[in-house]
Amino acid sequence: MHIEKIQRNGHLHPLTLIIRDLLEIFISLGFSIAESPELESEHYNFDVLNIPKNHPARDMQDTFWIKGRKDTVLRTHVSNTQVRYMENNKPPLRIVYFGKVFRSEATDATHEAQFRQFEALAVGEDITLGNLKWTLELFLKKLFGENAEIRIRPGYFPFVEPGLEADVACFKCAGRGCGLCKHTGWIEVLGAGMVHPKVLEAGGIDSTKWRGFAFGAGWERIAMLKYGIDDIRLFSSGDLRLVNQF
Amino acid sequence: MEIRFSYSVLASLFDGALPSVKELEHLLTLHSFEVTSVLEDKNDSYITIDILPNRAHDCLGYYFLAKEISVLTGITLKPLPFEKKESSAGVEVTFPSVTVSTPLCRRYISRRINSVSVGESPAWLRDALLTMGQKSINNIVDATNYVMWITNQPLHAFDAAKVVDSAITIRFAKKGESILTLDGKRIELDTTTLTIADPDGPLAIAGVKGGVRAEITRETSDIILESANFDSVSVRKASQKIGIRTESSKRFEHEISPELAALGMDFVTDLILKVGGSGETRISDVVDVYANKDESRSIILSPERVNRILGTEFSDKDITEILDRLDFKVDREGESYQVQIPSERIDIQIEADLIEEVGRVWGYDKIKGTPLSLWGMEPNLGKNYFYRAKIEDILVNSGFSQIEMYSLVPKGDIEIENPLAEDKNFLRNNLKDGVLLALRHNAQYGDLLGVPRVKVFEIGTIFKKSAERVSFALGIRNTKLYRGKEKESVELKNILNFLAEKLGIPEEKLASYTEVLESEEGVIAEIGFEELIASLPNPSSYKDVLRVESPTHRFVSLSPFPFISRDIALFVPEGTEKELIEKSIVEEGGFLLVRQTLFDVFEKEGKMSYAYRLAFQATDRTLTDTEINNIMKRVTARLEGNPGWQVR
Repeated sequence: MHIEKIQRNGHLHPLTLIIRDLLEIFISLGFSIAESPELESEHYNFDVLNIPKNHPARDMQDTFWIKGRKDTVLRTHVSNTQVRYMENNKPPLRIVYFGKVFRSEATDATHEAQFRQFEALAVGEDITLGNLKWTLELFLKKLFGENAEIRIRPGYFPFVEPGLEADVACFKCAGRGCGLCKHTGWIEVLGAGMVHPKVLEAGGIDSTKWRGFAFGAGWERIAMLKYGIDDIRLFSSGDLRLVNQF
Repeated sequence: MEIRFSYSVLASLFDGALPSVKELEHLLTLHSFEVTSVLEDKNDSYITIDILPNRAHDCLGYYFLAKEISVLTGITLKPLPFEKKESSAGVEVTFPSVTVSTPLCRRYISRRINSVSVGESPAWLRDALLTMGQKSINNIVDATNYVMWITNQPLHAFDAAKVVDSAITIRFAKKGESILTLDGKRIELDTTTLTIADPDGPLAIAGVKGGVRAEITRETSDIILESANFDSVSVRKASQKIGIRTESSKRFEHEISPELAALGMDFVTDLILKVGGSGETRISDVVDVYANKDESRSIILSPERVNRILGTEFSDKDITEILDRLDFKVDREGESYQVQIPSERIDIQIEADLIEEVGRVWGYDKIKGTPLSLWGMEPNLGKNYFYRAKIEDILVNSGFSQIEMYSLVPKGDIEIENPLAEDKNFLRNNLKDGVLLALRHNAQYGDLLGVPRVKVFEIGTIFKKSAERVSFALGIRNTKLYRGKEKESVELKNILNFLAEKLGIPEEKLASYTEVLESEEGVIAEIGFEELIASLPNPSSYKDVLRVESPTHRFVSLSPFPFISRDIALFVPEGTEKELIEKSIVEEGGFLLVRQTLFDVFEKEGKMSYAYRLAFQATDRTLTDTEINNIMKRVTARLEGNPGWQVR
């Protein structure tokens, strides 16, 4: 096969293309961009997200700790942004945030110690799971096309309750079952849920008055699904054989 | 946590036929846990279920999973097949003395059974264990395992004759103590590990593994049963420390309700009498050390809040019906309900947990999606993102490719305590090292990429000793294909000036945040992104930053096989369309020709010269020179077939 284009203009990284795509929806729904550090305290990465010490999610094996610094980790998810933002901004609020996260996991074609996530948080007086469902559907259709079939089922994350997972019908086998969807016909794409009252309270927000939802996904994972990129290690390799295809 | 369940064992717990495996798969996935795979053999079907971490308290046990299925299907569960047994009348059976020395043992129930006969289990029990994935040992041990799998309560049996004085103490190991496990492993114990001990020393590692000293053998006649509850964190630590993980430790690690211990003891007693008892068998009273009894819990649930969180319009009846199916006793309290939570549902602690129960049992698929309310103001993208996107666009429109490199590197100011690899143990303190690697890597692929000059940039975080900051770097490096006259450093200077102009700041200002490095491997500039941003005005609007066309094509997998380069140059009459030449080359080149790059053009004596670099690559093998030579011959022949075209 032949790829003919001679380089005239440059190329955005496929991850950037995804986030720009997503930001279009987020902006239209009123979501602002929030930022938070990659080098984080135990407090914001775990404690305030309802992940206490000795919780299995805290296992030494999964988290990178920093030599010589107490209670400091490389953030394991971008959710560290939630309480940081809530402490400094009164509700109602809608934010989206994204970036690198780190987990002590062996590297292979679908796993990296350093990968990326994006997440959204909305807190208001009348936010419901129905709103969350609607937002997830909008989001997934933007990513995977108008005909994308979505399924929402129970999930568990310490910082949301109810907790949900969202799957999209496998576009490779149209639900018949194949290697991509591990023969289930569905591909897991997002984690979501209603913000846990403890998290709202940790952010200084009255959970009897305010409620919210949050949802997020592995950013590379979305790019891999959408564009058919088959090796996660390519994203951080600087390899133009990836980037220049986009 | 993925657990494999036997369909036939699940079915045996019900008073009525279970739906098909497929139907169960569907119900469980949508309302409880994802079914990740289904296997069938001639004997049974096996459903692998991803039990959510917060339901490992109960649903690792068949009975509680069955309870879940009963909620979803309405099929009645049979009561568990045991009768509570009282101690044998008229005969004194010494019961064990139990001393619990630490609250980490939350409950310890024990009893002695005399005159059992140890032998093979009956076929039904052997078959059930086999299909549940548990090896059959003997009838006593099998009974304890069976009850564990069904109720999620780990149990243990000791040979009573080998427990000195029938005196059991739950205590931390003493310095120097060790234990030979049932598997024949000698484990050195330390003072942080909880043990079950008799006056002679440790008999078992609490909640994890039994020792061989009081092992049940064919000669065993009297037994001591243990149905206990140990603190989840201490079991997990002990299991990790000694490197042994068992079905027992797995369950305790996820915290089980101490209330289950009583159920476990009653069930196993009855079962042992059935499979190993006789007219001679005698059972003692139960000893139950339960210092901090689990108080029965109830939570207030407001139907109004259920509807507000879920976005539904449930009537009170809709909600109480679901709670009823879940076996949660409900008492009206004004506008709300006081809901009694069964002890094994440790996951239900606050109202939100109950709201989840209602939502999931009802079915999230049945809840209507409703649009978010309008926001009203323009959202704030932030100065950082605004300029970041602007810079990305400026550079990409000038022919640069955006890269992202690893943050975990072999050197830096901040070190990782527990790195995964020797060369990924520091956090990067600059971007230029990564850019250099990218330039080097991509330069070798110049022909394949069709890129005579590699131009990359990255905007990302770096970690200086003092702080995490955002940095920005660009790199330029010629490949062997480059025939131009402009030096890399000149293009770098030009792009930096162009950037300054587009951002509206003086060149010298940008230069003041910029560090430039030149070597034979290219030129790199690293710029203090944060200082740059600080010098720029706050954006008035974010409207123009985002528009980008979303590509719809799919990535073409990279071939792991090497590519071969060839050049072809030809003279053509003036006025010949370049596209014609390229079309011919592509057509003759075939699918192995993955890239053609025009790298040189000049005019001589009224003729035009075009020189192309061709890159060939296969996806399934290394190409040979012979193969490529043949293709080149065809290409040459095709080109020369045109009048006035002369290949050089």
